[in-house]
Amino acid sequence: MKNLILNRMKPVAASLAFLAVLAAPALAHRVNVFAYVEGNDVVVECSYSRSERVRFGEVEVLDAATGAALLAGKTDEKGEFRFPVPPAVRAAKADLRIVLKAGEGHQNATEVKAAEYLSTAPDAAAATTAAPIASAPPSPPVAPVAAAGPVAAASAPVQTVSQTGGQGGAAPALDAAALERIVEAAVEKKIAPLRAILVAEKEKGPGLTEIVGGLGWLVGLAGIAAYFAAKGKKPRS
Amino acid sequence: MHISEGVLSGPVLAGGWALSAVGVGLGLKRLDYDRLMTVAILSAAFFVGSLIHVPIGPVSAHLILNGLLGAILGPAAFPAIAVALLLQAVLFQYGGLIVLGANVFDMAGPAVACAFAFGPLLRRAGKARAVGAFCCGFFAVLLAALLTACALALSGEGFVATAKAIVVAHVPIMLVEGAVTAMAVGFLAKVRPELLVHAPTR
Repeated sequence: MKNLILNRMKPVAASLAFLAVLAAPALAHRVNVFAYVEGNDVVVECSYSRSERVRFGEVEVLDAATGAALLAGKTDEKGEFRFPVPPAVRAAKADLRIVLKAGEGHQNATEVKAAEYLSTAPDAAAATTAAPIASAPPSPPVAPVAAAGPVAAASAPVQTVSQTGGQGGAAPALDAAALERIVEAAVEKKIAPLRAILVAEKEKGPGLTEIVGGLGWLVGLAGIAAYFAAKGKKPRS
Repeated sequence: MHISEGVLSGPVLAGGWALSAVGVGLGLKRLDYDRLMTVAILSAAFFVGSLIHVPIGPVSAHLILNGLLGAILGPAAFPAIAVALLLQAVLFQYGGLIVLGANVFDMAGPAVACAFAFGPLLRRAGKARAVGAFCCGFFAVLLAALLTACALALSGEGFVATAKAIVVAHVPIMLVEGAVTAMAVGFLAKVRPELLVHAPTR
């Protein structure tokens, strides 16, 4: 009888719990943190195993060598945290250590080597900090001609740069900085899918190899224990 | 509920290792040679159990099964859980090697405590056993959540908020594990009563 009542209560209790869970952070085995350089920014992507995003997780950026805290912030709804490389860090060529604290004992860290952000030419980066491109990477200016069309927002900075080359020309002369930026944006666009694959690869849970391997270990350990236990017992003769 | 590396403070880590070492030692001492395979099989169940995600609406939580191990194995659940957690840490990167002690005690301590607390119920037949098994599964997860919150609180996170977050998120798992444990123990008592550490008295 007690059981029957308990069984009837279960859906009610479960749905109540479900409502409560909605507000609570997800609990998982581990958190993943993945960081890459995009223009002058370092983008940090945070997720739990099972591709659930870490919403509003605390991110701390440290100097990998000294451990000094450089900056801190929180991830957004999509589990992303984006910060521009501080000029002081760029000058010191310091490696960055990024620590994610997702709460309830979940923590992970990753590193961004100095070479990664230094390769995005500091001169061009200095220019991008002034231009709004840095904040609008999804729609990069492909070419000044195309920019006149749908990418109206992004066209402005490009035109200001290419003023010297004269407007309306089929092949306007571009200065080196602008060209570099365009190439960078194009490359960025091309490698975006690759990056997504990398992130997905990192977020993947344990595969069959690990699972079967673990079960094999347990069988082996039991075998060893059985062997020694049997050795202790003298065979009955 | 695996605590990640680098979260807990030194004394908590050391305490976790000490308590776990004692638990594993006592568990191995009480382990009967004939039950070795049962322990290994349940250790495997615990090892794989955390991969089984129970979808509860948009979120999913994984099974823990520490109550089940406690109900079936008694004190031997301690070494079984320790080995399974070690393999999870090494192969899946769940938790870590330094926090292993704390994680083992958080999971196995409640399992063994529940096995003792509900042992008298488990030894009886019928509904009493089912209720005992359900409580074993339910309270082992609840206590594990509280112990995890304790370990975090001792290392600086606020206890009440952390405990609330962990316990609330695990309420569905407590119910599922209670049901799973009740079913498993009921089934074993019927077909293989000798597997249960609390063999039913007839």
